[in-house]
Amino acid sequence: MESTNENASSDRQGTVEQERHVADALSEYLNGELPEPRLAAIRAHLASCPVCRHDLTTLQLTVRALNELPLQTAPRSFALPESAAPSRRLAFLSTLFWTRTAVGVLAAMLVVVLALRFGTSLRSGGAPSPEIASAPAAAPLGAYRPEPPGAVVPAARGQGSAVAQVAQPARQVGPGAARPLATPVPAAAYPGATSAYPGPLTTPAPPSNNPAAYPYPQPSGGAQTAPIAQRAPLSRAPVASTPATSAAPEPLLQPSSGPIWYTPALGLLAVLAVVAAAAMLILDRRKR
Amino acid sequence: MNSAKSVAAAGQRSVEDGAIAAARKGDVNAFNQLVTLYQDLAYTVAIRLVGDRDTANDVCQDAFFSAFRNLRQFQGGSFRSWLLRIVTNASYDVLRARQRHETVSIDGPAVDPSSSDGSAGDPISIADDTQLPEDLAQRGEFFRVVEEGLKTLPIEQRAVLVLFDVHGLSYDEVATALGTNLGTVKSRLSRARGRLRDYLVRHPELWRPEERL
Repeated sequence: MESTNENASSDRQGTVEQERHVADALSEYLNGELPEPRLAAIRAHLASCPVCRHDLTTLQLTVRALNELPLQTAPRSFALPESAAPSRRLAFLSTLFWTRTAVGVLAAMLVVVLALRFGTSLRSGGAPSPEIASAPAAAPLGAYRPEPPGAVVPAARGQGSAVAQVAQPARQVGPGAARPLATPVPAAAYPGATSAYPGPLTTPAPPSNNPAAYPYPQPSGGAQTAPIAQRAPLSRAPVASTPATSAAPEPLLQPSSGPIWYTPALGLLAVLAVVAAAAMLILDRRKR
Repeated sequence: MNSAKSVAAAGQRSVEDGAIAAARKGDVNAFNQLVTLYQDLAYTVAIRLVGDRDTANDVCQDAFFSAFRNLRQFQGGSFRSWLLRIVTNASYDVLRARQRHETVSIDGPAVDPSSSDGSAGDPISIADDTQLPEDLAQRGEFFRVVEEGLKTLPIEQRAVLVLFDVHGLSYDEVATALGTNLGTVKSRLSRARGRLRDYLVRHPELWRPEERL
């Protein structure tokens, strides 16, 4: 069926070729690329059309002239100087594909780890709270001094990220301010505790009436001076006051307080890896 | 005779492969063997594309430097077409820059097919074994006119004509060298031949009386 259609098509094409000139097909005709049905049609047309025969002849002469154009000799040698060879050090750096790839992958992995790290922090409430953001210049970590014994320890918000824990000192205003315990204290340390983990401890505020004894900014307004424990409800039931809370204050940050210590290290590594990858790309571009 | 040619071609291919392998490792001397093999071809293509010797010199030198630096990207196949691709790209860059600065079309003056002598008039009967002028001076003049005619073509058509008809590359090699497909190569070739033919028929004095177009 298809062959019948093809034959009919080639017959029609052949008839048309008889009627109009075939200048467009002469180049392919000269190269011997035409399929047989079309070739026969064009031959038939050429036999009967002096105009197309003339076109074919002139085209043949043109191609022949092009074929015989002489090759020109280069006026000088284009040989490269010895200095064109890449230096060994650059060659080592830029030709080791796996080196560039490894650096790129390392950079990408570090960026992903950092993104996950901060993403987790944000999801778990690690973003600075409006209170923190509005607090006057947060006290630097190194300037933190533990509160006097008896300070109220607030419940952590959510899971309390490292960022939030670091920022806590700025929130502790005046007497009765809350301080988080970086490390959960085992239940055994709390006489009278009823569960294995009592949750963040809350200790009663000391009966101090001297705000100047604290190095942190003193907010104005009576509402701000109220203990945070009273303003922010605790997420867990506070444990009753125990003698343990009157012990010496614990350090704010401990190695077990969270992965905060490796965040800057990862950031530094990511920056170094990105810089190394960029340097290799630039070297490669300059080499080309 | 043919076997001797094929043996010579195989030997050249072997030398070429060895030089490419060594040059990939940074051996400039090995690459210079390739330069020696192809510099005339590269120069001829360049001068036919850009039209003047100084620019063709610059294009060739840049092309060989670029080829050496990017030899790792050569994936095998025809080194000649790979090299000519660099040459033609460098030539295109030069022509485009020239066009930007001089605002002169690289297409050149269009040739009006209707003005060509004899194409629609009385056809001249020419023997099948067409001959070009044999006299040396006349032959030199004839080639000069052909070169001038090449310059009147658009750069894309000129490149196809130079690579296919002048230097004998195959369709595949031309397509590789120009970074295009076979259909485009064929159509450009057909148009370029027709256009050059129309140019040459305006110089009937260059042909023998029995060969005049």
